[in-house]
Amino acid sequence: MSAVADDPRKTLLEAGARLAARAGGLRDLTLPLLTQAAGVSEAGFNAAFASLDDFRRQLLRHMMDVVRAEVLATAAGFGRPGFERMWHTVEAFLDANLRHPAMRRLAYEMRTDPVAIELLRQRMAGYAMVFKTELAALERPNPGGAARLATAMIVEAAKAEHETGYANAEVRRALYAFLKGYAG
Amino acid sequence: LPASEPPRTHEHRAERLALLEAGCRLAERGVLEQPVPAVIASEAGLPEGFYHACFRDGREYLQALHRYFLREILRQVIAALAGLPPGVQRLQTGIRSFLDGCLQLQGLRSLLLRLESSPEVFEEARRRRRGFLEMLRLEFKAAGWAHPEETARLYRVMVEEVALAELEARQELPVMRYILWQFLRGDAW
Repeated sequence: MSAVADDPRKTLLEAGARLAARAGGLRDLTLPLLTQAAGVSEAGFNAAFASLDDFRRQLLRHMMDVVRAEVLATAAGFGRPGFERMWHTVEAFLDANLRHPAMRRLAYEMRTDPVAIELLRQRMAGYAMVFKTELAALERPNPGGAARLATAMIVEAAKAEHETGYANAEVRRALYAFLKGYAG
Repeated sequence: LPASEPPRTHEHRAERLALLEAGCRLAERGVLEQPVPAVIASEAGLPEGFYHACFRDGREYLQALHRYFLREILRQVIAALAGLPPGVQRLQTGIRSFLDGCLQLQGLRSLLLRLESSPEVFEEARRRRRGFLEMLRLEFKAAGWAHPEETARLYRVMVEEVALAELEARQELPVMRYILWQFLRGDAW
């Protein structure tokens, strides 16, 4: 049995990711374009997703899952919690975002979609939990609050780098200076 | 509108302001989810016709409310900064004034944030953030920070995040403000 028949949902998401990477987003996505690229029938699409909007949301979630897995895999192999590991994790996050520009592009396209906004907020809260662990090791006051602010800033840095398309030394220096300022 | 028709913003200045202040009061009471001309005019103590003379539709009214919010906050920040030399203290004073202003107008700010899922309000909000960003950039530059543009962009989102946290709590959060100042202790000065 083919992979398509095994899991049309996954096949459609992977095809959507390829299309988004090629076109720099999914603004012009149509159902025929997607099903043709995936080799899945429209009936197969309808069984897996409620609508194209639902598909875009699920694809955004899928892409963010891929980025998060890369970030956590990098962080896990790097010693004990603390500033050094936190900075390593921050750079892993920025690098992963640069490797997956379609994810950030899709997030921008969906900036006024309430479901996508909530999804992004949940994801930020998840990263804030990761950074809280690192900041708690510094024994500074209120690591939870600091992690919330730091996460907002780190995501903004990723957006800035997405706009230029490369690892921006000035952005990373500014980010480092703020984080070092907090760490003391 | 036909090109020959004068812009509505130049007509009925006093009534326009009264209608915006009325919207602000309604937002603070949590009863302005969608602009209803009769309710707004009644709150302003004006005949409903003034609403239609000043604003083309609800969308234009909300955009004007956004600008009203920005003007009020800016007025407070500029007043707070007067006479202070560039540096951390001036930066903190301006940000504290911004956060205080957001709390004073929390009903309006909360409404405007909820409405950002509509593209026209989102665009207005983006313009507001760009203005705030430029102010911060100039402050960081005057204070001698190494990369003022990048620095301002990153710091702005932390300030907005504190404003959001205070909006959620409906009160000042001294600990969050303290953390915000802690991020300024880096060696980039």
